[in-house]
Amino acid sequence: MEKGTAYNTNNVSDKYQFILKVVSCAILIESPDHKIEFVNQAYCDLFKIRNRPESLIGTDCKQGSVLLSNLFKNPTQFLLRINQILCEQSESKNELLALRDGRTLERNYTPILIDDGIYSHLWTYKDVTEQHYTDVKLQEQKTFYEQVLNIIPSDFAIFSKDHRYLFVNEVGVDNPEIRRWVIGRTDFEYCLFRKRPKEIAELRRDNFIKAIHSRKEISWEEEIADTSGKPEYFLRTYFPVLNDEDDDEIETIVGYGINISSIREKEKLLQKARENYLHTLNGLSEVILLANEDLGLNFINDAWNESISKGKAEKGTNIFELVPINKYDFYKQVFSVLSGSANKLSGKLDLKDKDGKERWFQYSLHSDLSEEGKEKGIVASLNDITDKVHLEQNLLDVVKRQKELNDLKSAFVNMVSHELRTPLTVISSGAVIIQMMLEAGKSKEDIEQYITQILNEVEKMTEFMNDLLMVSKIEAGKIDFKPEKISIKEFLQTLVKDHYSPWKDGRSISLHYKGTERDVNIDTMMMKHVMQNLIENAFKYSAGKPIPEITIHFSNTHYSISVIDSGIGIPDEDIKNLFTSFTRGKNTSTISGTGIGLVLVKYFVEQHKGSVAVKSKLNKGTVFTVKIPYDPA
Amino acid sequence: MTPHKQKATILIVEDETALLNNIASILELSGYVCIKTSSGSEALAVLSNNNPDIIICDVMMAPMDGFQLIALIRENKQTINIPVIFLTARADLKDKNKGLELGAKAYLTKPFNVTELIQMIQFVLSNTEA
Repeated sequence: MEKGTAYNTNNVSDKYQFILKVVSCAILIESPDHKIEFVNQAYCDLFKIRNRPESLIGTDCKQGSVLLSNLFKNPTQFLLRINQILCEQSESKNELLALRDGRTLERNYTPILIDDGIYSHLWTYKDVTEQHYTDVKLQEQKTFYEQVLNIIPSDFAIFSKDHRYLFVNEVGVDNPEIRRWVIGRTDFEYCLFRKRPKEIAELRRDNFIKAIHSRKEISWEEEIADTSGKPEYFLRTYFPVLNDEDDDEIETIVGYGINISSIREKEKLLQKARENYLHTLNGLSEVILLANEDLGLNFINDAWNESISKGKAEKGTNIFELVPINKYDFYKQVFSVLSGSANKLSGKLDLKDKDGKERWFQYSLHSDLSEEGKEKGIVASLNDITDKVHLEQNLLDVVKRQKELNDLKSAFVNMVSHELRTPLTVISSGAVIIQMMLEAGKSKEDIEQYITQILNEVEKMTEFMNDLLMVSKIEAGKIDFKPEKISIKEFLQTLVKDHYSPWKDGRSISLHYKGTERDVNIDTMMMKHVMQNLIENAFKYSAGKPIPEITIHFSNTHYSISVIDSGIGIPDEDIKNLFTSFTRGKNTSTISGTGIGLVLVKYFVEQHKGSVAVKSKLNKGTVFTVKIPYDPA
Repeated sequence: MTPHKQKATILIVEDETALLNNIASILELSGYVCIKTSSGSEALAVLSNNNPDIIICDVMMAPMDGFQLIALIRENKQTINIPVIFLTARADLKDKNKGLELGAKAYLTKPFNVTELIQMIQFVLSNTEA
């Protein structure tokens, strides 16, 4: 016991009285005859009695009570209750009394047995205003939160650590009886009771355990059929509530479920819309391609597979796999659009399909800002214009062929002009010379060579006119192929005998045969023209060289006639045009010729379903070979 | 220059032998000296040793045609001033212009009038002399 608090230790009654005086609790002891036996200072303070406690001893308690009753909100009630307590003489605990000044008092009464059936009365009062206020507020808050939890549009429950319901709101369980029933039961039991599918109950239980172990919020989606069987979707969450004071121990688990059916419904509609949109895009004949800034494919429609079907046309593929990187103009434009320096560009592009066939596309490129407006991308549409391009190419080919024909025609006109003007000049100049010689009195012998020259030139011109006439007859379709069965051997022998034994230069030509002779079907007029042309060429271009030769070779299905000379040969660059134009070899300038001959040769041989080939070496000689089937039909 | 003075020399380039001979005969009968060549390369060879007063040149020759030959002659200081007359079967105005652009004094088309040719030669020679 602390020193400095003075009391007389010899008197036990004094000692207790001292303690009663100093306790903070207000105390009054009422004697069996209802006089104040003891009262402490705290009592006087509580009820604002100005007298000192000692001066009240012996005064009448009932009178005192009447005086005090005015301090209470309900004085009558106060007095009646005192009488009641005194009659009952049984202990009364923690009765709350409201004072007019707003304070709340807690009263305790204890009867103290003094003698058989005789009691003293111990009254204690305590100011509990603050504590009472807190209790009331707590209750109010609890009610408020319960009301809040009941009006939020989410089911909400608080679980113990073993998944038992501590609280559930009205949305969670609408029936108040069931709501009361479920408290203390596990969610598994509740699910069984509500006949929810077992999988749902198990998943909830598993996720609950996960939340406890991880001490973290767990969310998942739950599909439950409503009363009409229509599926409803919930985003369910278990949220562990940790105790701040107790070492972060899990106190409870809060569980709530938000109905996301309308969101799901909208998502389904969006999905449907997306499918419709895809269906439309895939129905287009145009290739539509979406790529991101890194040229990764975001989308490509079915038209790609129908048109090109090359490369992995799927999301994430780099478009380099679809359009080769060497398509420089295309990629230049792609990067212009991506960099924002152009909004829309277009061009033409050729791609090879899976079979290696070339296809042409008209493309247009747009920037794609659809994805959140941030991520840059590109939309390309490729229109297959292969048919159009082919048409254009065909037209160009026709124009080109037309130009070639024009060139040929102009070459022909030049040739005709040259071939007519040159002999004419020789003739006219020859005539002038004869005139001059006659004037000069020259001999007949001197003059005669110019007359011969004139006659030769006239013959040359006639020959040329015949060739021209033949060409125009062919062009007019007036030359018919009229084959007859003959011996080619005899045909050639006669031809050689009549014209080339010898030729005008004094040389003749040798004939050779290989294989078993067979009769052939030929148009003799045409074949005579062919052979004369080839034989005369052989003579003309091998002047001063060994005699030319003809070899006939009979094989199984064809026979071939080769005319071989050891002449000047044909330059390589002239061989390709040999049968197609009226040009002559570059080395033929001193040898007369029309340039028509071989064109006619080719035409006539082709009438026999045959072909003409040429092999030549400059200054060594030339071999023309005509190859014709036995049955030209 | 007139025929009674020293005879003028004419270089003829013509691939058609009969015509080459005939032109030469006519010009010789008219009092000129002729050098006959039947190709561009032959003509160039002659020009390296001779200095003719005039060149009469065919156009359609191979492998070197008359236009190519005259272009080469015009590139050479020795031969640049020798007057040229084209004698050709190519009657196109386009060809004629081309020939004249190359510096030819005249462009006669075959078959030509002999009198016209001789007059043209006389005209060209008298102009050159002046």
